[in-house]
Amino acid sequence: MPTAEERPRWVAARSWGWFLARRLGLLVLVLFAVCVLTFTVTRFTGTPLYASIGQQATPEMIEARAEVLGLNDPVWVQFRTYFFNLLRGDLGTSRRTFVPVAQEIGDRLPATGELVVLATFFIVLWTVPLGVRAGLKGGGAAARIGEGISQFGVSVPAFWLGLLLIFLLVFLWPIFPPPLGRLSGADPPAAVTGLYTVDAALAGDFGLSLRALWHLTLPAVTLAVTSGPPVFRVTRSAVAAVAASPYVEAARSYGLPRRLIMRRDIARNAFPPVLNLVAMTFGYLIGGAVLVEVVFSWPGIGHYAVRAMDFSDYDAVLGVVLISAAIYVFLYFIVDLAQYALDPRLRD
Amino acid sequence: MFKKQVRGRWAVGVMLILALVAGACGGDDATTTTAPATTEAAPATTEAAPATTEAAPATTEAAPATTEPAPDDSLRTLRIAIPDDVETLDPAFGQATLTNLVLKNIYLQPVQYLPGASEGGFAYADTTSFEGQSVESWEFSDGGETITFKLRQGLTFPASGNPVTADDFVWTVERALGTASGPAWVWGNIGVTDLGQVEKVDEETIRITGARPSAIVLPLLRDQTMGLLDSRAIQEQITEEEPWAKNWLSQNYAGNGRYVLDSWERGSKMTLKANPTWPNAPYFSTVELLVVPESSNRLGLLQNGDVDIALDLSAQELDRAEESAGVDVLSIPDRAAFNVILNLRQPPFDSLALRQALAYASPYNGIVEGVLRGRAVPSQGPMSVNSRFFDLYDLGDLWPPYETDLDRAQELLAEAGYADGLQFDLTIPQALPYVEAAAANLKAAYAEIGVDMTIVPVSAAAMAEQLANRDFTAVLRGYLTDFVDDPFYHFFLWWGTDTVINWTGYSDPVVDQVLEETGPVVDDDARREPYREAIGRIIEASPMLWLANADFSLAVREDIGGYTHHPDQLLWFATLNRN
Repeated sequence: MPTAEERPRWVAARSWGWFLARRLGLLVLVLFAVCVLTFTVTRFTGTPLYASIGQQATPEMIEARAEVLGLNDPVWVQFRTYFFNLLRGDLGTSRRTFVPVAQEIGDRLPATGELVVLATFFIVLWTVPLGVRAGLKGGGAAARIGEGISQFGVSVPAFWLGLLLIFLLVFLWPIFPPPLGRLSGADPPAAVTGLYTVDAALAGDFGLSLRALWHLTLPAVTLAVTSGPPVFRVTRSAVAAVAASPYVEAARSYGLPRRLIMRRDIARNAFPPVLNLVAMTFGYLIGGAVLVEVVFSWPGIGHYAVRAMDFSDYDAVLGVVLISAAIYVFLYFIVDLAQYALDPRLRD
Repeated sequence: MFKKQVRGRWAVGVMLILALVAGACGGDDATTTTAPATTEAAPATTEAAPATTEAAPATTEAAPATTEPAPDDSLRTLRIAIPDDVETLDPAFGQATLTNLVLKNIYLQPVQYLPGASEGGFAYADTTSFEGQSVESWEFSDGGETITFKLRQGLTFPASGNPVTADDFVWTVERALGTASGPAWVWGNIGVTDLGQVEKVDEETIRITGARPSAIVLPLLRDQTMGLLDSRAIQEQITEEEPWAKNWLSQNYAGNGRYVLDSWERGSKMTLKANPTWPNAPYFSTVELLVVPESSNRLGLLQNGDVDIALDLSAQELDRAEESAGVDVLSIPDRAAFNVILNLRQPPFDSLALRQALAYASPYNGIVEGVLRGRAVPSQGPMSVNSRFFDLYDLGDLWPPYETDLDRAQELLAEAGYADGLQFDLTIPQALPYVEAAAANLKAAYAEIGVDMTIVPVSAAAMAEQLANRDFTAVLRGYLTDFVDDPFYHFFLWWGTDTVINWTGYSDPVVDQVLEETGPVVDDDARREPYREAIGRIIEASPMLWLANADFSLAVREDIGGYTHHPDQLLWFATLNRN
């Protein structure tokens, strides 16, 4: 049987085509399932009607509001309307604020995105070098430091660590800016991408860009410490397993340079599960950074989602869940593509 | 050697980056954005007293005195840490307290209370005196059934530049009725249910006919939902799908309050500027509302001097604030009621003896001193002990206050047929620590007489739904405050058989009759005996467990003064100043 490298081009192209079609089909299916599931669950957890109109509502006012909110229609009609609007890119309107959900999420997603990107960068920054070192050496300082941070990171809740860092590094020793969101004491840059660090740089204001980065640092460190430990452990065990494998032993015995063995044999074989986990962590943080967002007054979608859930604001909850799910499955899709490209066994 | 060089370069690089970042960010506090002083402090002025009839209290005294201009513009900026963002700019649809607070300040209601005499660092609003806001004067005629408003002259809407006209007033009422929203309820209680009752007499004059005379007409006209709208600006946004431009007005400003919206970074910060078209400028030219969801951070920012006021601190945090240098806590005896609401429509609380048993088993001291840290007093019935009417009507004499007496509670429990105990659910809002603590206190106390109370936390939406549908056994919802301090207002909300938030299901023909007969009566003395009788009957029936009347506590920097406490508890920026 020919290997992936030995097959004709058209066979490889067909293999890629099938792979893409299957993955894209799955992506759409997952998003549809998430939509149906979330729509159903939100309908069971209460109605936004009464919280949106206030306690002194008369029956006439309640009836009028129910009509405006479309809550008098049967549930399947509500779903049909929602779904067809969704296909047109309309995520609905908040029942609480009367603002289009797409706009509200659009306002908040860059804040979360910027935070999660930096947090993921920090996660990779501390977990991968320490994990590789710990995996290769089996002990030593890197393993002890990595294990120490890991133990600490999984033992403390993110909100507690955030509060501790704020107390120490903002109120006690004022090194970092006060927890007043993305940019205290300055006007935000003109919006292009919504990412303050990027928009300020695009406007040529690098001081403002660094200031935005400084505001990001503490919440990102908090997330990196509390969400990074699984990545450290997977990196360490994957590297240790590959480093102890017969083919690495053989490569060593041939006297191949360590850098070459590291790059060609260890990294290539140990990193796919790490990549998977980093992508999964990134996706998780999009919606899961809520407590850190609250602690640092970060105007992201996590905090927005919690408020929406408290008021059974259907469209807002659905919007956040769908966007988070879309980002999640898209990341998986990209990781799958990368693995499919990197690992010839998957194409056999 | 090579490794050492590389490490050395890395170290230098990292240090350079850190130095750059520190340089860029180090001056954060010093570079707080300050708004240009848009208004000069004006001398204290006195508006001409509007003509009033016997139905309306005489107005109006001097507008709040402004203070000398501060030497530094940054001192004219008031920074307030708030727990959540404002949900909408549409005065007809605000629900959350914070939203109402902003709407009250950025829209102009027909009237507002005048500040009363200052006492101990703050003043109560004088709930018997009003000053015109959007209207310059008002006149009641035809026994109070006709109200004639004269608009304040020279006002414009800053965002559009449109002048304020009588058309704006009429269209604001039309929109309220058309959207069946909060102000429709308010107008309904004034007696206005049809637009035909609202007539534009000329460009400055509006006449309302068929009004329902009562003691609460003017207090209702100060409600934050009654803000005047820029009808022309809003009408330009009307579409077939949006006949009242709700979506547009939820995020665009079309008012002309004492403060006007300058900018709004959703989820982070709202900046207000003093209205440049208002005749006398308030002390603070800029108010910044900073969203800080975590209460310990709000306290830290206040202690650090990063903000001037921190809203919504817990009782423990208020204690810590009080001990902090440079911070004052204003603890203002208020009418906020902390009550367990019992559902009388169904077992087990259709039993009077059982309700009274729980009233005797409730740990009043534990709630007041333990949970609320002494910032409250035990309640003595439906009207707060801090209501103007509590002393005026000698309500303390009506009924011996319920005190913790477990023996009496056991007797009543047996009388109710629950000698072997019972179980019931207490619904509470989730994530409200002082309510959770109070519920835990109640649970422990009731367990001592064999009552097993299950605490059920629910979302805000579920709580609102349960109360609206009267689908609960018992609820501890948190502080409940009538926005108007008046027995008629209180009764038509809570105690008439079919009144709007009669969640308990209490029904008494005598009380209904009092409500009907005293409605049109505006004289306090004439209402005294009927209300004394009605309140006595309600206390005896115990449809609620009246636990405490809590203070309104506000943590401020010590240089902040001029706070005027309004019955609706909504902060009024116009009187605040920096000493």
